[in-house]
Amino acid sequence: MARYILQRVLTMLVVAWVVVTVTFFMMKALPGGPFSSEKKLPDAILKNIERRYKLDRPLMEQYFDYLKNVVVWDLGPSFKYEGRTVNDVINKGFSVSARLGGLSIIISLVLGVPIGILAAMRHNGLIDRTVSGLAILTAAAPSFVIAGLLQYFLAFKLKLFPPATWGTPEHYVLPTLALCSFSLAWLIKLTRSSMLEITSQDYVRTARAKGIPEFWVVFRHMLRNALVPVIASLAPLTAGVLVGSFIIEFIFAIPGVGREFVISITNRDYTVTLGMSVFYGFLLTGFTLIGDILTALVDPRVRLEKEG
Amino acid sequence: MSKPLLTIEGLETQFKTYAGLVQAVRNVNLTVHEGECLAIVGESGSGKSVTMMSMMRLLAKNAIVTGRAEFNGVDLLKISNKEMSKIRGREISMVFQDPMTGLNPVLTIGTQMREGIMLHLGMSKAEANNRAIELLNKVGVPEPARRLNQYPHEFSGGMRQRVMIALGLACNPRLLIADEPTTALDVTIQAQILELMKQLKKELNTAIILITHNLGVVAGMADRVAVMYGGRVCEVGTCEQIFHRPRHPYTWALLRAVPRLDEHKRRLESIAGSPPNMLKPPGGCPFHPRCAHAMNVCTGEAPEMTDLGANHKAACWLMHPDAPKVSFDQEVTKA
Amino acid sequence: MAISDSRFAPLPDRQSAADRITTPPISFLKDAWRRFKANKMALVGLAVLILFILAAFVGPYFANHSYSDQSVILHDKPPSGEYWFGTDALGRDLFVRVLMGGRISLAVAVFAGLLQLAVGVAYGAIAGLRGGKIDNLMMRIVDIMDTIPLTIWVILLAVLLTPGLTTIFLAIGLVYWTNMARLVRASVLALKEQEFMLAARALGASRGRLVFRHLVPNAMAPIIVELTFSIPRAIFTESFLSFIGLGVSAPMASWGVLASEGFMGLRSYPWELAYPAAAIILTTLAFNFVGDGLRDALDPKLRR
Repeated sequence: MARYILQRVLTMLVVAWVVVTVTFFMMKALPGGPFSSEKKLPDAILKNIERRYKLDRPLMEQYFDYLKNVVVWDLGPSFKYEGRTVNDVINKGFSVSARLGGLSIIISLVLGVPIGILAAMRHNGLIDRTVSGLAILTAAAPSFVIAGLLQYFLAFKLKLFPPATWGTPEHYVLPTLALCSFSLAWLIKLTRSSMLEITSQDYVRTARAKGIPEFWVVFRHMLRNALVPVIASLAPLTAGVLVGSFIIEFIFAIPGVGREFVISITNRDYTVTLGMSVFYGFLLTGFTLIGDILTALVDPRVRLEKEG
Repeated sequence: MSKPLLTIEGLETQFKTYAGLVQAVRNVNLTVHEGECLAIVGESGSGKSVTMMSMMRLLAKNAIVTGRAEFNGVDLLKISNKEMSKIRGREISMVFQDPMTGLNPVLTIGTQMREGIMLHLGMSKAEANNRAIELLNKVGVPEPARRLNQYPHEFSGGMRQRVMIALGLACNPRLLIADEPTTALDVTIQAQILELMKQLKKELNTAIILITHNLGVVAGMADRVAVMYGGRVCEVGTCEQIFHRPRHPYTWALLRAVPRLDEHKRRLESIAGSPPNMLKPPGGCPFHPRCAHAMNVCTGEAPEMTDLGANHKAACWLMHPDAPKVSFDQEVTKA
Repeated sequence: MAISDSRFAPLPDRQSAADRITTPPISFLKDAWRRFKANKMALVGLAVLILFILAAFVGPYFANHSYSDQSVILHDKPPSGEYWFGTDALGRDLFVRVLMGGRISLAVAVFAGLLQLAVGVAYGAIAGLRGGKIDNLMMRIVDIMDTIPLTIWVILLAVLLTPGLTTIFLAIGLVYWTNMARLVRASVLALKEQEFMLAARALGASRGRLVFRHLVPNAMAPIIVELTFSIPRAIFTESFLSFIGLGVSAPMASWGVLASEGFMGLRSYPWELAYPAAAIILTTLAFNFVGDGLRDALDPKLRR
């Protein structure tokens, strides 16, 4: 198990290294960057930058210095805005995005899984068909469409919630709904189909043949097996929420990391874009690891593989 | 002869599929007595498993089952699901073919064994544990106490099948249905499992329904045999009657197909043709397309069961007084 | 001994009948098509797709207005007899713009899908066939790519290359192939060991013949299904990129750009978002249904 975690972390580090290296050389090569001589900055600031980033040293030394900084989580300066670093940008928006994203993931899990199970249990009944239909429809809509729908009907027309910006609990509602819509629909579909597949498995037949009441068959025998693919999809789900946050925060003018990411793209603020990508990569690796650990907890077959 | 334990009358099972109605079981009548072993023999697709699953009410929702299955005075096909689940595992147990997939991979063997015991026999966890260890000992699983905490993938195939049998016998059922219990195992393990079942049957006086396509297994274990083809029962009788005085052409074909060590035959005998399409079964007797003795009447109506005395029955138009007389010995000498 | 009752006369000789296979043989493709046809939603999906494709590529020729004709006085008009979907902020006919958008979105999606197919199949096949160290290395690279959400890779590529139509489908195609590669590799690994491969080799088939006539046809089913699902994914991503501003430039417009423009006027002119959004949703649904239908139809285990 430990070896496996190590492997994952190592992979992440390789990616980080690749992206960071590209960032560094881009910074040096592309015009308009923080280190280029075109900048007409007051002498004092120029001297500061030169000293801090050791611009008078040979290239390779600058490179390793930069790498070292990344390791201690100093992601370097913003490409476009003087005096700002990538870290500043991330720190500013992190807590907001974390709350929004975290809430979305939790809602998706807490609502999605039980609804999926319910739909599978009442297969082809009214609940199943309604739920499945809604899930299919929602999953086919890009998040900005859902956001638009919500904004239009709930904010503009019915004036129930504020259409944008951040601040009060009411401000949470629409963005969270929009952000979790896809993952919620996805989890419902996944849980449902997983349960349906398991119901025809041999071991479920054995349990029924033993005379176990249906209730137990579902909760003890089927559920754990059905949850395995759900847990495995935790990582891509999180990735989806991360990426979805870009647009949702942008649309709802929420001061989070996602919006900064989009702004950095529009502004061609390369270092911020790349640095934040590395940041997102680390986040995702973290969630992937959590997913792997949870899978090992639930499925004993996986445990043996990892140890062996 | 001991009392009849299970009487199946007029059992018919159909499946609704996207291609139409599949007639899997057609008008099956069977009786099993206390403490006896009835073997049901036939090719794949002959309806043997479906008959048992129908009786146990374990089929999927697209199955339509009609008829009567009387067990202990109760018609199993008419009682509620709840009542049926009280009977399943307790009075009637079923052991399935594939031990690899028959056990839940995420639960320990102990959990899966204690489940039924605690449910049906009302024992506490500790008591159930002891019973489980006792059962594992009986079926020959070494180190049972340690094994209880292990998972199915840590067991070999033969061990898993033994566990399945232990599960089947956990609550001392009156009837054990074994659906091809040894087909997925090596020959040496097969022999062990069958010995085990024979022994347990003697000890506990459990009736056994053994579903198989292997006549060797039948000869070793069964008291009575029922031969099925195309969803119908062709012939039924004691082991002796079936093996030494068979009357149905399909039984003849099956017996002929078993390779023998003591004869100098150069060719392996097989039965020409292939199993019937259960969506549109052939009219009349299901075997007639492949029967060497088929007559005009065989395509029209299905033959009824003719009583040949001493509880030996066969369903074949050859039994009719007006039909030509054909016998198995003639068969053998012809070949 | 004469037989008195003709009922018991033996059936005429049917030696051939006994060996005849009782179910008429249906080729795999015909059986798959039969199953696909039985799936109503898949058929509906297929019909919608054909309709949309026709509308997108042929429709604009019959329309009254061109997609770039501006009529500033007639800006932001609701749907009417003259302008079926209304007009946008610059007075352009939304209906024609949606149709043209279809051309771009669909074309991008299909090309991206084909690119994913080419790269993914090649990559996966090589990894699966070679095995050993090469396989390990190739899969490591795929794992590395997966550590950052794929969409972000697409964004990074799109940012670094000059914005435009080619960039988008290149970016999508060059990133999303990982799924296809994994699938193909898994298929190849499984099929490599199967007995029919051994049988073919025993009969003297050469390596090339083995790959093309035996391996590929058996692996085709999941490949086709994956391709079908990759197209709506590409449409989604393209609309995502357009929304952020990395899409195609005016006056050309994909559905994503139209949606993004429609968002500006959401409060007062909701139809400007509604129509492009509906186009995206319906197309995605259609592809999903067709993909599901294909998957069920091509699964050999469900064959009867």
